[in-house]
Amino acid sequence: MRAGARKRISWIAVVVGVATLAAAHVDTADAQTAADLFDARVVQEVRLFINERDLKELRERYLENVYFPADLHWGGLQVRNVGMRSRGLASRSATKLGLKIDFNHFSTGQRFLGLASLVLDNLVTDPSMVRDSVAMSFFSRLGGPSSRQAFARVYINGVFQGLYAVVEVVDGDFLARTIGERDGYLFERHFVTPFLGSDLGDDPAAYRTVFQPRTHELEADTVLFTPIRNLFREVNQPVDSAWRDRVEHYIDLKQLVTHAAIETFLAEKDGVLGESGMANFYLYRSRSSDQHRLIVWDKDSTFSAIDRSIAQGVAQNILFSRALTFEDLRTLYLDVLERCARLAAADDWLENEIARVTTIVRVAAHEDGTKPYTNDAFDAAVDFVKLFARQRSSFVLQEIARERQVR
Amino acid sequence: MVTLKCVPCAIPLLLIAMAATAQNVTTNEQLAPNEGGWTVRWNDHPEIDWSGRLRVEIHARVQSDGRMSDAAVEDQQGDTFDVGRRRIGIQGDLGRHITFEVEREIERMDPWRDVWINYRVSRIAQVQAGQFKIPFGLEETTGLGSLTFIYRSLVSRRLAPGRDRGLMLHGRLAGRTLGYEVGMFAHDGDNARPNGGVRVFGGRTVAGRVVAEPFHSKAWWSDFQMGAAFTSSQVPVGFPAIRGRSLLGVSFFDSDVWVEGTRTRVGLQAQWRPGPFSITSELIRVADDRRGQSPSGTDLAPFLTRGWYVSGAWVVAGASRVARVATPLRPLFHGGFGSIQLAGRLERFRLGGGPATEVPSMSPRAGSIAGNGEDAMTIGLSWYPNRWIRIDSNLIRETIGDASQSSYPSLRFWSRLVRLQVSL
Repeated sequence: MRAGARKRISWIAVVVGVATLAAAHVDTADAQTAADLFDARVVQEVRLFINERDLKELRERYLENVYFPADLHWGGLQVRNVGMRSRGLASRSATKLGLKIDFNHFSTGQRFLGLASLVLDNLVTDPSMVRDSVAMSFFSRLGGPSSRQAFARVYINGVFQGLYAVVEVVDGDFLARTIGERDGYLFERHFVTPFLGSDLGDDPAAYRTVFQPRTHELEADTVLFTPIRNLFREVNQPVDSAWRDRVEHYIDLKQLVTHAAIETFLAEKDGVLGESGMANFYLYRSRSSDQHRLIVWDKDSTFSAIDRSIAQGVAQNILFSRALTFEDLRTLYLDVLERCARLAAADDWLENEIARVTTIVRVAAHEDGTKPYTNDAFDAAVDFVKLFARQRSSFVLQEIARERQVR
Repeated sequence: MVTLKCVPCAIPLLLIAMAATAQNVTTNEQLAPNEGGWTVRWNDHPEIDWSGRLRVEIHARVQSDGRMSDAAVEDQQGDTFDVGRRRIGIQGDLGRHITFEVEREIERMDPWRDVWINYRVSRIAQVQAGQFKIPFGLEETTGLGSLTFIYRSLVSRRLAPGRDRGLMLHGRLAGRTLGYEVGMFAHDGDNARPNGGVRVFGGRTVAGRVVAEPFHSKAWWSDFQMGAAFTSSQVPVGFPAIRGRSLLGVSFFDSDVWVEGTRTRVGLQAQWRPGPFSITSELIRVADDRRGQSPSGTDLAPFLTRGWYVSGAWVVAGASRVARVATPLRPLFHGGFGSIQLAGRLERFRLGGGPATEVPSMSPRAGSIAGNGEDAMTIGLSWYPNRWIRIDSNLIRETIGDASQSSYPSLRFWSRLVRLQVSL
């Protein structure tokens, strides 16, 4: 064989080899799915790259929802030109940025692992850093649709920012995955002022301050909010035999009671029966119906007190207190609470779940220098959550028994 | 949408009357010599002469536009439109070596146009200083009264730099075959500057142009010229002021793209005017560096804006050459009807783009920018009743939307324009 031919063959071999390696790399990347990203058995690693100028401005304007371009790296994959902004209410921080990543903000139709967006929860409002994760697992165990989430070390421009939760956003993709439809009307409870279920008047647009549309954002307020206005108009009518039917036309009362009962068992102080009015949930309405249902969101205020009463928050919530005047709904409330208590206690499931999660995150949590509390505070908070898991069930069961006796 | 702008009727009527009167005045006829050597006469313009050492021409121009468009058009007060303009100025020479010009708009925020003085050392070396058009762009450096169409092309309006303060060396070499202009300017021209806001534009600018007339001695091709030009300036970090606006001001790309570094303009031009015909073409490309502007702080491919036009004109009647269409052989009311010119122009303007290996994005730090663009076709009919009056009508078909990008909706619309222009 001539030298020239050998040289050509060598080059071909090199090219084929490189191509094979590249293909193998692509195959590895293609094998990644959203389930891998939300694999809570390990602490993920998310790396963000944002121009230093933008990062400075993002920190300065962390109270605004201004998007900045960034590149995101995870699991050997890179997604470029994502939109990144500060997020959160009480959790907004310039030091440890709470972040929302929109993959399609700058690049129409761009998705990452099939996701249009992601939340990077900075976990600054929960010293234990595990409340939201455990609560979501509990909701999921009881059959309710809940966001997938995993923990992650987040780096910005190569600098470790701390331990975050990677949270699946409640959007059309989430709806398709959990309830099999994506084209309905989705609203996020938008906390501007406390809302306890009062009638805000005839103008449907008045409810825009309470519920922010997350789908069909461009549709008219009358289309978006008229069923919600009707719901709270009916809620505030005298409770008679027709009340139940009229209200149930606009909201699934059994689902509402079940949702609230799970939150109550978890001693949620900032949920549907929260201390500051209804908070931290989404409302969803199918296109073919006027009836709404609740979707759980942001449970970092759960595990607040072992002895938090199961009646806490019920009386001041107009919708819920009126719903519980119906015997079957009151019974359902107590039944779900009892089911929660027994499920949590069975084989120490809740305590074991907390132990499992804290084992995964402990090292990263201790290394997190941007969290607004000390490592001792983290350990103490974890200990309290475990204590809650051990003692909450018996407390709730006692309250249920007392409540049933009263009846 | 209809936008109609009329200057006060009195001024054009007065100028028309003056123009009609002036038709009877013989060129260079001396009207009123005075004792001190001062002479006032009417050549093409009112002119004052002092003993042959100082000559000052007085110029004035008013124009009124009527616009009808299927699309929303830019506010008529926008600085980028020659709508309802009233200009006055002087031109002249002092001695054998110095020429000068001062021109300003009436009732505008930034009224001063050309304010310059030129010292002619010889034919091959002249120095010009003051505020004047940076030597870039054939159409952009053509005076308003000599344009073929009502509006300059998109590339001329958006990409050619326009006026600025500076110093320029220019002249002609090789027996007038080669013209050159090279200068230093304070910034990169008023076309690149924002009307408001905080957008960035070029700082100190170096510009140069060479124009060759290679067939200078051959009669048929004598008017053929071709040239190349460049500018270079530094742009501070920010969003550029060069944005996507249609001929009538419809916004189609805001250039929210971070740039920093060198802005380089390159332009090519060619023109040939054989007898009653002319064909003109230009190609302009502006590249703004994006040093350190990627999310990770690395350099990005330059932000590109570019475009071209090809235009042609035909003097249907009233003049023997395109170059003389503005001075009809037989003016209206003097044995003729003036001159008539028919013209057409095709043009393209694009912003954005980038490496084909990257997915286009609207991110201000995208490697490949999902840009936008416009194609336009203009048909123009001009009537010159006499040397001072010109009436133009243009029919414009604009198509906004770059077929290679899908990030922006496309838009197609017609516009109809009429302009009355009176010049002294």
